[in-house]
Amino acid sequence: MSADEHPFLLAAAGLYLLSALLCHGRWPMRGDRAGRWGMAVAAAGCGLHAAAIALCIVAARHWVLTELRATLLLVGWAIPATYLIALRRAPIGLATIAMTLAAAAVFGALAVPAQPLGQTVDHPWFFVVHVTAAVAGYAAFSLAFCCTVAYLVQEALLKRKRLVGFSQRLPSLEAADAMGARLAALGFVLWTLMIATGALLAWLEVGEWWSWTPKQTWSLLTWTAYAAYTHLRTIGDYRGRRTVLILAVGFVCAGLTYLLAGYLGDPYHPFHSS
Amino acid sequence: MHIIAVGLNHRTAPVELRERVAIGEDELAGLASGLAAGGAFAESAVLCTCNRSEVYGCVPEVDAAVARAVELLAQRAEWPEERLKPHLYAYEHAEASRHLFRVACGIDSMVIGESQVLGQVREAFERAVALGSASTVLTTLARNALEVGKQARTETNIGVGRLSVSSAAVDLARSVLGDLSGDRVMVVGAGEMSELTLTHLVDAGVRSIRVANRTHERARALAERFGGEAIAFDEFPRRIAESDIVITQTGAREPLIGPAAVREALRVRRSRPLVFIDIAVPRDVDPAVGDLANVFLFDIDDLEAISAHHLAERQAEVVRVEALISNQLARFNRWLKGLQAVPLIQQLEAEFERVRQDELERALRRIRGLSPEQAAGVDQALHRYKQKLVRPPIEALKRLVESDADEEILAIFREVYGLSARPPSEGQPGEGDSA
Repeated sequence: MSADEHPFLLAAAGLYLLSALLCHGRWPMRGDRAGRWGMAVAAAGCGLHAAAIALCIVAARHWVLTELRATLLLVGWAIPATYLIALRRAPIGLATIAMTLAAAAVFGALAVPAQPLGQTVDHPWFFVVHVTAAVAGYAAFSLAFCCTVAYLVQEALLKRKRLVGFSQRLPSLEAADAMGARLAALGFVLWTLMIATGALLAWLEVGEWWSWTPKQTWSLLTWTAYAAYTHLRTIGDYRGRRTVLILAVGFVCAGLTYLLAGYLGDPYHPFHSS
Repeated sequence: MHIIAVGLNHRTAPVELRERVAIGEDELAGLASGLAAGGAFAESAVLCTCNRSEVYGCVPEVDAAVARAVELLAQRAEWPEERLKPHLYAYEHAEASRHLFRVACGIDSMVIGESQVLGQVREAFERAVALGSASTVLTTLARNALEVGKQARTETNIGVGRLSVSSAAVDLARSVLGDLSGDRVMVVGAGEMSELTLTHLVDAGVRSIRVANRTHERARALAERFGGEAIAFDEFPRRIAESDIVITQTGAREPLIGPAAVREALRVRRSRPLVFIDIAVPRDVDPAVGDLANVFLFDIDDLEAISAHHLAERQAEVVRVEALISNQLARFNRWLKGLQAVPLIQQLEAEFERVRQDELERALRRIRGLSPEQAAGVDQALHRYKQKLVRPPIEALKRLVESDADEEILAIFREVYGLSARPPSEGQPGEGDSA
């Protein structure tokens, strides 16, 4: 991987931050106009980000990017891209949270050193589905987490009687809850697909379905957390703060699956290839 | 031609007088012909809302027109002119246009930034066009007013944030519950404020309504009005669990709803968020209820703080709206100036054409025996000559008018080309008047 994409990534992260600021709606602009500009700036950032990823792919001469830095770039791109497609009509304060997270992902990618690619596999198509489902799942969980943050911030503002300003730009508690649930359901389906293809791949490559490696264990824990959340919310009909906090727990599990497991030395998902 | 605005509004006249002057739709035609009589008004339009009655006009002579308008308004009010006059304002020229722009933007309204007035301005001028009393100048003025009115509402926060306490309550319920159409509301204590809040909630889509009141009759009356259900007063604590929004306004000296009852309700609701709007003073809901998770308790102070905040925000936006108005006014005045040039250009062309015709006749009289082709050739030559002579001054005139030439320059222009101050054909729309 080369450093050609650095300027693009810096610009994209800058645009995401600017978008977050605009969507916050206090400075440098106010009102609906700020929101419209915020979305436009985010779209520009997303375009530059896509260009940077294309440069990475060209430099790697490989379609599937698996190491930490590249996947951070992919997830960091999928967050604003999904937002612009599916959530652009949501109350604009949510974009402040989502674009901040996207910028954090890009800065994270810039901070970690580029790694050579991991091992090659004999069944590239399963591998492509596995990695794609994982990246999309992380993005869906991240956006669901943004809804969680929106819920908690809105709740805190209402409880503290900060009733005008950012509170009015954030989704209502019920809307944040409903959006979070939909995104979590989407992530849950993708995650299930990711685990299934991962197991299949493991069986095809090493002849073992499941071997309790750190990554496998944590991804199963994540799956369980989201399963519990969905179960409580749909079948149990529970709502409110505690249910929303389970969603946050799920995101923490997903984050640990992503980072910790890699550094714990997972044989199939090495971040440090030797 | 000059633009004037004469009238009164909520700041200059008490409601009794505004009622007297109010002009009904059926009286508009009579008023328009009264204004036009004797040529006092070339164009007129009447704007009448509950807070204002105003006459807008495009007039040849300001003082005469104002006097006519005052006379007719006094007649309408059946009120002596001398006693009406102190309540009237009369704006002329750019100030009249600016006044209409301010009205359209809602910054001249009693509730600052309200948007209803924009539709009222549109209707008033549409009616004037239908009656035939408004034409080019006033319709363009109205179009500019509507443009800046819309611009003010999209580009500034003059219309943002609702101002009444009861609508603030609805906004708060929305920040918790989002779309209210599927939500259930319970009113405890059928007071005036709780009724008003209920009205706003029903407008926002709430369909399921319960009312509890100490006197059951009143509960039933209110419930019937909104298609809801009246419940016995001592039954309400058990119904909290079935409600998403609880509005309280009773005369009780001690809180009626304590944390224990609400905690139980939350258990039944499986922690679904619950909104209390406590309008009563002293309060009906124990403040400790607000500390429970998933409960959102708002009292009258919270609601009043929100509406005060919105009012302050709107007032702060007036400066930005005034800037938009000044821009629009500059555009409109350029157009109006340009209109002054039209008769002058027509005069100039007519003058040159007259000279051409004279010279053509003289030439054809002198040079005898010309074939029709030769005669046509002379005609064409003179025509081209005229065109070449007349074009530069017309271009210069357009430039002058666009660059804010004042009356004096236009007078010099007339002097140089020997044009009279009064155009040859009287009564043309938008004719220039150098007086």
